[in-house]
Amino acid sequence: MKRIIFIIFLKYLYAFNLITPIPEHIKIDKQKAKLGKYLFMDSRLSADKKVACISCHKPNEGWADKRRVSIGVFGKKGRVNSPTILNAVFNFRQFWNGRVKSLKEQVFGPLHTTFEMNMSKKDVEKFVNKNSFYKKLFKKIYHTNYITADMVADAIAEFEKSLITPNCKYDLYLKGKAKLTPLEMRGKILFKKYGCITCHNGVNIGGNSFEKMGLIIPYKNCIDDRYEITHNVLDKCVYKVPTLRNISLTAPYFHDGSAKTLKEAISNMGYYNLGIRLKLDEVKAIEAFLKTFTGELNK
Amino acid sequence: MKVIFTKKMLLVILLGVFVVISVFYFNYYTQRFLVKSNKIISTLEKIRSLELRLNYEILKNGVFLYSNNDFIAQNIKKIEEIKIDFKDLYPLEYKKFIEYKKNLQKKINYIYQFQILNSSIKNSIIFFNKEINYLSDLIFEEIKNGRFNINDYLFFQKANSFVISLFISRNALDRDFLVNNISFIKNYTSSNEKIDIFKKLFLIHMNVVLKNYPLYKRLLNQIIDESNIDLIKDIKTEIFHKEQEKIKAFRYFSYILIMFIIFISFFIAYLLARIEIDKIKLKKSVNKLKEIVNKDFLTGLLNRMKFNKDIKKIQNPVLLILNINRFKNFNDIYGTKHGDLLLKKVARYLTKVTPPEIEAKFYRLGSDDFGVLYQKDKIDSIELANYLKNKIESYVFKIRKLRVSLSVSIGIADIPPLLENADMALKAAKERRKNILKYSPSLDIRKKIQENIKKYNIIYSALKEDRIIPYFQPIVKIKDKSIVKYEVLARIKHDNKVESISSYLKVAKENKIYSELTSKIFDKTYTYVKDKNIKVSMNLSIEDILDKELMKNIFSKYANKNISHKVTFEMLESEAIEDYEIIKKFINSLKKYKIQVALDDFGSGYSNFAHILNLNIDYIKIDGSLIRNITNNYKSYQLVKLIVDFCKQNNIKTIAEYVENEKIHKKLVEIGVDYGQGYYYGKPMSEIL
Repeated sequence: MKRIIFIIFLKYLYAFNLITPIPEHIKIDKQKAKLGKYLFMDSRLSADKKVACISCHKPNEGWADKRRVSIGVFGKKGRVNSPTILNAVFNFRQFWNGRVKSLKEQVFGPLHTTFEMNMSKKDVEKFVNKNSFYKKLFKKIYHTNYITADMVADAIAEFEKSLITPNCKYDLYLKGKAKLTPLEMRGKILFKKYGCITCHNGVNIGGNSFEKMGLIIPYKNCIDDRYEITHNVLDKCVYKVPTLRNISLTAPYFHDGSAKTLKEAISNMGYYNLGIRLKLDEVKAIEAFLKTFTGELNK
Repeated sequence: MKVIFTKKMLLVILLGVFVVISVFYFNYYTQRFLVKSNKIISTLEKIRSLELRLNYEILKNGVFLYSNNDFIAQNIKKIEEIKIDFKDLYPLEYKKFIEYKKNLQKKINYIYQFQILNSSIKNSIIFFNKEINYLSDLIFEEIKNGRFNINDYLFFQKANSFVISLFISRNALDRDFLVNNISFIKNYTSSNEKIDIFKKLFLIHMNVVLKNYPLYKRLLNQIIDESNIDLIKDIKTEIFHKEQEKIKAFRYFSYILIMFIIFISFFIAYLLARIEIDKIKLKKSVNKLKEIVNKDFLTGLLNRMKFNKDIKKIQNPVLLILNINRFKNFNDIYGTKHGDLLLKKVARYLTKVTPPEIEAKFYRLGSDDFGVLYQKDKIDSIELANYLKNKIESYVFKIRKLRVSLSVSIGIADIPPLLENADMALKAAKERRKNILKYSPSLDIRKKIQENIKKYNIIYSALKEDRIIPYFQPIVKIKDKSIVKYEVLARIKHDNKVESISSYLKVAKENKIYSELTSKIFDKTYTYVKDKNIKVSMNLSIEDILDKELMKNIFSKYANKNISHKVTFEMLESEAIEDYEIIKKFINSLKKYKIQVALDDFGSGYSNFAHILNLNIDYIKIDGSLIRNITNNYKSYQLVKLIVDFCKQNNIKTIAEYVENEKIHKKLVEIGVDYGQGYYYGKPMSEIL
């Protein structure tokens, strides 16, 4: 009984917590995820057979791309920096400008984009339906004789769902299983005190609202923003707030990849969005705090 | 069992099926409708509560410095994910719902914009909070260094006042608090470099706030404006009312269905009633039929079938079978119409005269056999039989113009099997010339019947196999014993023996082959005699005379001059003579062909001298019983003498039968009998020597 009350009490605390830990398990179809993984890594799903999903969401680069912008088929350059797909399932929308609501819809973005993979649905279907390996797997999992592009997207999305990183240091701290160092603690207070938390909150520490890049001090390089979708003047320089989870792994930063280091990103944010010039020690403290968000993939 | 469907039954079944289908469909439709409708209402309610929850989250986001945007995002997602379509069910409301959806999309966009503005204002508030302290520190340092600038302090005061008013106006959602001091702050230039830098940053934030605040306020008002939520509420209410109305319609329809079911029930009840009525009618008809089956059609008495049933119901039953003597002759003479009428009258009279207290039942058991069945202890059977016999025989039945007196014979039985036993008793009574006889096992009639059957078989096969042959016994003149003619006697060859046919005659008569026997003998005799110079005397019974076919046959042979003068026909003197006219007519016709006539067995039974005179007969054969006793019985002697004298006076020749010895012969000579016949003169032979 005591235990139950304790758990309820904890939950209450979390609910009021601005940052909540990632659940240790979410329900996924393991077979689908496995199939999705094959597709995710398959470069034959691109027009020049050289670009796979994994080409721009590299596991050893935080499932993102350390290049400022990624290189698509036939060496074409992308427009914005490739975001991490870790914990993408917790984002309220996908892409920098949040133009789709689900992971599955997101899959078609890179697939169709001419400077990324440049494959139409027909191309995708033509490829997978000719491939006996995929035919067999899809038959087994989707009970179908004809694989649709939709199924391909569904499988990839299922794989992406499995890419969550619970039990980062801060999550453990929230659960009372770890202690923060004084520097990290200071970073945490500054994170709140300067209002970073206004936008970077929730389970994904971001990824749950739109915000303006250059809220206080206008930002010049606003490419691929929400304005391109809504054509509302107010949406100029508006992007989905990116997650801060695993942020130490996913340099360079911002939509344009303009900040090469985390420190640079922190002080830029302070300047453009908080209208303050952070001191070096403050930046260091915040950086130390942000590093506690780095977790490990669920095995 | 074969089931026959009438049109009505089919109609009922069809209606029944229709109603059942209607009820099922109605039930299904209603349920589906209610489920659907309620789901719509509950979904709308859910949307409404989610919207209110969203508004709460937005306000929380606005009021609190820190808040978790997940809640807002999740709430929006939940609302967006709700998909209902009730275009078919409530098209008007659905249109409104589409409008709501549009408004919701707008609202969501407002929320995103509001979140951005809110973040900027929050961040500025954080900035102001932190930087005002910084400014106060700067000024405090100046004062410490003895460089107090009153304008800088004023600036600090104004800036401080702005920050405070910002807090108030944010919470009050009123920009009016902000208007003071703005121009002063904008235009102020400090000589202190640090304060000047601070001022520039402060100004940026201030401008952001001032620029964003009106939009922030407007967006917040728009977001928390509940007119869209009220729209949902309106839709819900309208749907609810429409649903209520439809439920009302369902109720009326169900009333109609119930009425329909009641109507069908009544219809079925009506049909069942009809069937019941038909059943009753049928029962009545069956009863009537039963009555008909149980009754004799002619007399209205009960019939044999009913008798067989009734006999089982009575304890110690007694049966009287009452037979009209010689009814067949009556029928032959007066025709069956009269016969039927007579039967009717007898039946009616019988029921009338029988004492009612014995509770007798009356049956017609055969053509002229009437049965009287009653319980043994009611009355003595012999007494009843005598009573009935006397009553019937003393009554004159009027049949049209005829007045008929009857004699009856009665057989009685009180030992089962009643019918057979009574019948035997009746037969025995007739045979023994008793009028009433009660069955007792000693009657042993059964044996007789078996004998009769045996006899019938013998005579029948003899007839078929031509073993009936004529024998000839000589008739002699008493005076000189010279043969004058022969009597033809029928004999039957059986078991290599030749025996008299007399013991078979009764069976033959009963079985209608008597005439065939007669015919056979006449035919054979004819062939035998026609070319010989021999006279023959042949027997004819009353039955033979009445048989027209037989007579025609006999006449065709014997009514011939070559043979007719050699032939004498002997007729039996018995009750048959009562049918006097017929005999008379017949004898007259014989006379035309010079055929002579003899009266057989005279002196036994009903010998009637008056009759003899009226009949034109040539001989009288004196009955053998008289002749046999003539030597030792004086009465016989006297009777024979009387007959002979009478005949002599009337010119009729006499023939004595059964002359067996010389003693008798001498007596006959003495009396003066003309002719004689018997073993003393000669036995019957197959051939005439």
